[in-house]
Amino acid sequence: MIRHAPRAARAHKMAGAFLLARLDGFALRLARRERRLIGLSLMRLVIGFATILYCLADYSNRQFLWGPHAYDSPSTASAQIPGGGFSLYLFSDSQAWFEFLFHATILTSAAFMIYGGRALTVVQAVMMWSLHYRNQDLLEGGDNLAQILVIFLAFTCSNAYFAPGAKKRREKLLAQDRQPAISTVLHNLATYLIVFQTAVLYLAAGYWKIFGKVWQDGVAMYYISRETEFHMSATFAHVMSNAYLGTAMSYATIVIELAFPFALVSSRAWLRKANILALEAMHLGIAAFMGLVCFGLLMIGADSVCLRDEDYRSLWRRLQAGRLRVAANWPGEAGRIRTSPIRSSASRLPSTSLRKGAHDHV
Amino acid sequence: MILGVLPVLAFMAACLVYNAPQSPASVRLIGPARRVLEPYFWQDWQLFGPTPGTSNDLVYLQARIQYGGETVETAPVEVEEAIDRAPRGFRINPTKLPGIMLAFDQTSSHYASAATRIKKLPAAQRKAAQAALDKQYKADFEEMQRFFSARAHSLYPGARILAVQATFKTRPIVSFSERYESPHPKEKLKGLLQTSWMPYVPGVAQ
Repeated sequence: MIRHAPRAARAHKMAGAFLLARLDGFALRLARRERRLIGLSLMRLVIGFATILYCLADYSNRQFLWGPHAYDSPSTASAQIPGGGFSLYLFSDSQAWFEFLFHATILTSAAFMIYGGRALTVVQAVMMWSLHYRNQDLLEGGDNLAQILVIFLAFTCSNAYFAPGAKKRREKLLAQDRQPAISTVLHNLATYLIVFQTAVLYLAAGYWKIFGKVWQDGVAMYYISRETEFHMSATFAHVMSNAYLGTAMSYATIVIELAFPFALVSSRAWLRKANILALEAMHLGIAAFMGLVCFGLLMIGADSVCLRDEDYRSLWRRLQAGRLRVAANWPGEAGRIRTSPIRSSASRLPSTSLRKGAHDHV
Repeated sequence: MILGVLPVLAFMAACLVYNAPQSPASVRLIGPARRVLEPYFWQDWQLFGPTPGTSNDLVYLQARIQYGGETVETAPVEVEEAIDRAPRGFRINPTKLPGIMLAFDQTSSHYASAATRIKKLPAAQRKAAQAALDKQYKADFEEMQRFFSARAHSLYPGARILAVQATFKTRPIVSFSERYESPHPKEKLKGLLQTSWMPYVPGVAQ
């Protein structure tokens, strides 16, 4: 019968089968294995650590900034919260309630950073949102991103690495005979949204910059380095006065931000890794030279989810190989290495053997 | 599976519309996008692509003090620069106090430009427009009142402070083309906004 069917109907049927097969493949990929576990674990560490830093940066000023007698009184803070928003700090004007909540935020963040897990992520989200909405003057932009990403993080497995019991958890997650599960689908969709949101942010940031006059003129870094509140280093301000360096930094910032979403979907892994490493360097620079430490850290946390697990493994292998090369060329180390048969043979091993060792460490 | 993917697609579409630059299409679609994203996914990434300021902001604080049976006004004292420099005190985990001044500077700038626009309105509309503007910024000015009361208290400890007033000014950063000029160019201060005398609020935490 098929032989006699019109050509169009046959093509239609084939296209349908092809689409169904693709959809099946997509569904299986979503449901079978949790992805970006290393990046999510790094993000968990960073959000927890940055929240602790946020609280400790002004620990001695906490009454003035967030307390019941703060300059931003509970009534004005309530008036500034958007509809649907909340802050546990505004549930009571009592001093004891404030002290309890503030210290609970620090402890929760530490627990979240160390242990992770979905329940702790929800508690962390509530505590972080509450603190941010108690006084919005202190927010830096990275906090806005963290508020969104922590909601997505609650649907993911963010403690498969760098947490007590992570190895056991990982073995379970990466088992070959694992059945598709709803929790895996949720994990992958939430992870996808984290990456998507971060990409939208960089695209928007690059877009706004490219239309800014001082960015176009290549003098943006000069003016930023001279704003009193961001002027942390006279050397940095001096370097940014240089016409070539200042312009190069201004344009490089725009290029790496605009390239980010395209690098993410690129099949060339080196492009993705290079772009994200450049962004990490930029955020480290912002933390060191502009004094926006929490902002820089939160952005590094968000960027870290944009690298795949394979990217981390290949970066780790490169790092290990580099270390071995340096050790081999270092006179003292080389002598030491020559005395160790395992080490010296490891450096001569084919890359596959090294890969296995690296995988165990990551 | 579809139940899981649909909200993701909705979020993605809303997020793209929400962050898209203004256009005839985005203006029509922004309402539904807001309903999806606000309040929990509210976002403003313009902060990440700012046109850096080409001037530094300064705030001068004056206080009315009861002194020996009469009321005296103190000389204006610049208070912002010291706060803006505070992060250099501990670079590893700097204080976020400059964020307060940044918020106040933005408020004063927005308020001043809105007030200027109101002055250009027909006389009959001005009063109502000014009242609406004051209502919109009520919480912000209450914050300033409490903040400057606490600053005045630390500047004049033990004094009987009656009221405080803040004057917002800006000083342009030496332009890029003049950066190596000798003698170094002196940029002139420009007034932005002066608050009315705000009654002193006692008891704000220091």
